[in-house]
Amino acid sequence: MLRRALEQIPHYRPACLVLISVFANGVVAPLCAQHPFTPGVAFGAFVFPYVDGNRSAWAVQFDLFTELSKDLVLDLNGVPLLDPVTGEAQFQRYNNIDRTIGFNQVGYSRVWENQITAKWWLHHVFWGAGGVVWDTPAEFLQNEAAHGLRLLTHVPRDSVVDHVVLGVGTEHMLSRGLVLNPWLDVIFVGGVGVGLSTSYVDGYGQLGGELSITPNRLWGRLGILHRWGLVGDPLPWEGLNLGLGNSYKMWQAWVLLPLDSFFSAWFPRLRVAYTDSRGPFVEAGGGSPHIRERLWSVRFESPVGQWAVEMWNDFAFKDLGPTFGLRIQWYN
Amino acid sequence: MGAVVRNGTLPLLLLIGSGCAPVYSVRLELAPDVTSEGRLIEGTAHVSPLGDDSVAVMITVSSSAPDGKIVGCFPRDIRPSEVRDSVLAATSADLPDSIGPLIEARRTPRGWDVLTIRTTRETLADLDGEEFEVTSLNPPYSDFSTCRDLARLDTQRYRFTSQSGSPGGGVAALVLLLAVGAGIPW
Repeated sequence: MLRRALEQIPHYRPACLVLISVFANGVVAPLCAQHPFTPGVAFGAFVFPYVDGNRSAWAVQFDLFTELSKDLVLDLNGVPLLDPVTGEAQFQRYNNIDRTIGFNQVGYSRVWENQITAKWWLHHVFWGAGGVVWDTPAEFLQNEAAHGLRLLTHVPRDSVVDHVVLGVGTEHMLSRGLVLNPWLDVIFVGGVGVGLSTSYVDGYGQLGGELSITPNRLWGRLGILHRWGLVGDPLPWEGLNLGLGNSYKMWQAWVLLPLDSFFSAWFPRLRVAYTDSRGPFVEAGGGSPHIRERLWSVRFESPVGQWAVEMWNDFAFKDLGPTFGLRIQWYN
Repeated sequence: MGAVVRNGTLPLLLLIGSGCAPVYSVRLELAPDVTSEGRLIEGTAHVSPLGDDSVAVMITVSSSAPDGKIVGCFPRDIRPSEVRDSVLAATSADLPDSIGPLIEARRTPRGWDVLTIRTTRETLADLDGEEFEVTSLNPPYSDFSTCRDLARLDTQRYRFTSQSGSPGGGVAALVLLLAVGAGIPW
């Protein structure tokens, strides 16, 4: 089965190239979204809400959950263990989820800002997304682009799934900004949100803050956000329910480097984040403890060009579980 | 708060795919003789077209005045309801006629103030080396007697410097990202 799946890759290549080409040339324009789409947050997507006014955005987003590692299961002597039924070597598994799942979504989001007092503000977010659960684009990005260019071992597939996915969500954040001194100001945010999709349901509360360093212009920002969430799989089409817990907690810290402040305005801003999450994925077997994931994310954003490109990955660069995500945004 | 603005901008066309309007950029720099309590926050002023031949230039600044006054640019004899009227604001003595009126001064959640100036594309390009002053405003636009004091507190100067670029900037960033991404063992 695995061999058959790998043999099918070349047949999908033209379709992938067309897809990538379409996105790259903006025919599906505009592309963007402000708020992370389900299940991007579980994969390391940026979570700090947009607090700088009203904004609407479009995005295209890819997320990949990898069922099997490219690494083989070895015995104590370092010899690959063979499947007792098929006699083939066995690849390491993440948990009980028995499919590799590629999420491909196009979404729209809108942020409204309301000033409620001289110091307090409300930020409302609405987002809607649709797409397909289809492994082919993610498989192309993983095996043909990243692993292929570096001549790395391809990540195998045992089983994949195809489905339409639809989702909506909303988030409501309260914020307060404080000018600490002429060099520093900080903004605190807190609130709740919910995301409902056919593949994943997420309700959460979060608290965070972001410090801006502005001695004579914006030099950089540092931030941290903590989130608690309850999750579920309403329609177990993709099989996420086999390895998904019912809650998670995570924190994300980030640094923003505004290259546009130091160089040309056409330089994008660079944001790098580290995410530490416990759940929502759970270990295989009894007890089902939450799996701890450490992920990193990088985002290039051009305020002048009004686009952003993000990607996220697990910190250990393993090819298991929530493996990577890519999002291209276009906003106004 | 006083501010001096020099220089203009070069209109740039950035098209990444279809459906993108022309994008302008104005670079702001502190003039060397600034000793103000106010600060320029964004190094780049955001310029957006207003539909006709006009553009809105948004400058993000911050005032460290003790009472956190919104930074604005309004003559003392304008009534509160008239402050938002761009026609009357155009008569502001604090802005050279050649630049255009201040059409909005608003406080952001971060505690920053965004000044929006309406001008034409042609004027924008001619701003190179020009200077103007912005004074402070006391919200909710009722006590203009403090404008003069705040202006003394928050004098600051800005400089517009030309920005040039090309669609290649955005494309280069995307290529860079893909190159970085391809180099990572996902």
